[in-house]
Amino acid sequence: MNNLISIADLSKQNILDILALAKQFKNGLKKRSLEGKVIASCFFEASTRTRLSFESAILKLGGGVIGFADSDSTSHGAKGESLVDTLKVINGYADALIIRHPLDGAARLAQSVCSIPVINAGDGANQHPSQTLLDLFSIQDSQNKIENISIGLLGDLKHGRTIHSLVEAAKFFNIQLYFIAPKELRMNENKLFQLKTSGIQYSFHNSVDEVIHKLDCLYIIRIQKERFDESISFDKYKLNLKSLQNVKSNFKILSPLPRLEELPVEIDATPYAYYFQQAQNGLYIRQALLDMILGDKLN
Amino acid sequence: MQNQISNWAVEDKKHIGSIENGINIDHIPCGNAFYIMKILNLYKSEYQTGIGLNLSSKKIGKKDLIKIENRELSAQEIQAISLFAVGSTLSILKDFKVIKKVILAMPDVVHGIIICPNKRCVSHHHVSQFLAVANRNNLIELKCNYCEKSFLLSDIKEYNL
Ligand SMILES: [Zn+2]
Repeated sequence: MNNLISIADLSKQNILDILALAKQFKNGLKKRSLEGKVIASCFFEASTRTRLSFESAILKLGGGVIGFADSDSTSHGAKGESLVDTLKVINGYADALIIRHPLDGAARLAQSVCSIPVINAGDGANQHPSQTLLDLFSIQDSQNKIENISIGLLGDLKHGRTIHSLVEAAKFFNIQLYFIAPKELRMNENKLFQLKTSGIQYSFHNSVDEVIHKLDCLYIIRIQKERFDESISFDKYKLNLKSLQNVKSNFKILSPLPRLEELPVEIDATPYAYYFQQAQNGLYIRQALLDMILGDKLN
Repeated sequence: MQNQISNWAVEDKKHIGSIENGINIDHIPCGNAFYIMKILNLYKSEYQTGIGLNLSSKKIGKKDLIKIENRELSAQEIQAISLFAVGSTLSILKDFKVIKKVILAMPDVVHGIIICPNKRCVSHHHVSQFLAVANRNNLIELKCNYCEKSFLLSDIKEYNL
């Protein structure tokens, strides 16, 4: 692996290798594989969790970080320098580039103009592969396995880029999917067709309570209500303590955060809440990615 | 001229025979001759060129047709025009004879010509690149190499020619 641009570029073995290495980091592995190296962390769009976990991962691996947290202060943002020129300049200053950009495909463009390795930290509505990997890691870590798992996906399944890459990766692991969303927020036909041709089993449900007892994991994606007509009721798509009475003992709730009212704070104290651990797993998965993509090659 | 065009429609074979050396692109989907003219720069060239628009065709209902005397096409040009001429016939003539005839197919990769319909796509800041893929109804779609979105040819409205 020289870059990480899209989940679609990864094989099952690539994914398993990254998850295994992330587990070692979670168990306390210490490595200084980025010592003496400079990593450019370029966030043309702000993202707290992703940026801080990447930068923490770099520092823990002994590397140095340069970069910016949003594009306002850059020549690209402030002086209108072309994105390609900005990328070429950064290419000369760093040993690798981590890029977050509001335009779809920006990381692929960076890969095509840079000679240093590029890691996609989110390109518009397209891909956010390190998030997908940390979701897969969280499923594996909370269930002690990743094959043959039943996952409920609750919320906005239509617009979430995270969810699209996650279901794409589900094909490798025989994951059974339960879609819980109002009709307006279901995945589009093309995406469903892709799932069908990859042999993924899925079904549609109108409330959490209908399926929650069958699930190993419930993945919640926030619904941004301001996007929708007020007449659509989202009440059936909220989680509450009562819904949790019939869940399996291994049941865990995952969410990429931030959350809205579909994931009430009182759930945090239950043994089923896994989302803060999930956020922390972001650090281990990013250590694994950096070590795998850059560690051996740079040294 | 009117007369000649209708002759092309009913007597293609005879008509092709009338080119000594050059190319004949027939059964072009109606309306697409315009794009091919642009790609081959026919507005400015000095080649003797015949263009037929909205000709009736037994095969596809209505068609466009372009024939150019003494013109050869590079592999790159064939790839570029194929985007607008899927299913069309390209005949190469020498001494009044068809020496080669190919049915044009969707190219695997299209560089630069398509403007990605996704307004949020980074390719608007660079050279676009599209890959041909089959969709769920076995129709050919073009997938943007940057934003990873797929479009039917009919959904693509803007070109950089
Ligand atoms: Zn695009």
